[in-house]
Amino acid sequence: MIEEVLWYYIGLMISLTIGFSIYGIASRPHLVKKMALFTILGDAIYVLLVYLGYTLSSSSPPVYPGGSLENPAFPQAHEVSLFSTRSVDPVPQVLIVTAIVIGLAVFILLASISYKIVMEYGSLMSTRLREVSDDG
Amino acid sequence: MLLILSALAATLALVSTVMVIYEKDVARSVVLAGVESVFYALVLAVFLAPDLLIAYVAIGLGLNTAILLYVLSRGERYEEG
Repeated sequence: MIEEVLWYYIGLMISLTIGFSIYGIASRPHLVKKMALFTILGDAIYVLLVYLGYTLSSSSPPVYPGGSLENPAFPQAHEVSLFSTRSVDPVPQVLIVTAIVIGLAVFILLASISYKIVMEYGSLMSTRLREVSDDG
Repeated sequence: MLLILSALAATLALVSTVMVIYEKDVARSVVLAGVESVFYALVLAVFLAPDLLIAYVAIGLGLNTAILLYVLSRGERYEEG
């Protein structure tokens, strides 16, 4: 009972973090703060996907405890199905390892664009950038 | 018991996100974004994803904070309005 309440509470907290970070990206004028909130948005989405792959009965990471290198253990089909009831879902974790690296590449692209902007106009506030470009 | 730790970490991540939004000093909000990634790393450890934890701490806490502070050092530090 208490575990189910905590389970839905964690999902609610992660969803509220996604909502607040979208609000912050839309409302704050500073470009560095927009980038920080963009990374928070991506991280909250990753944690939400990992949260969906977890089940309350799972107790081990998705790595089969095989034998040693000299004496490998080849599991039978029923052993694999028994293991899959105790481990977490490996598919979201495999996808999110790729997504973290791609998110880093997108973040570095945004940072380089912001660096070009601040070298050209001397300001990081997007409201002040509009005044500068209107003046010429 | 580990779910209680995870719920606490998710709540503190939400609190630090709200503090990032309403902070006027942008350097302090960059550091708060790093704190938020530490709490999400705790959530990932509870959800049995240690391979994600290794990549996530190195990128989210180290590299993102360094790049954001480098960009911030060229512009103004305080946000008004």
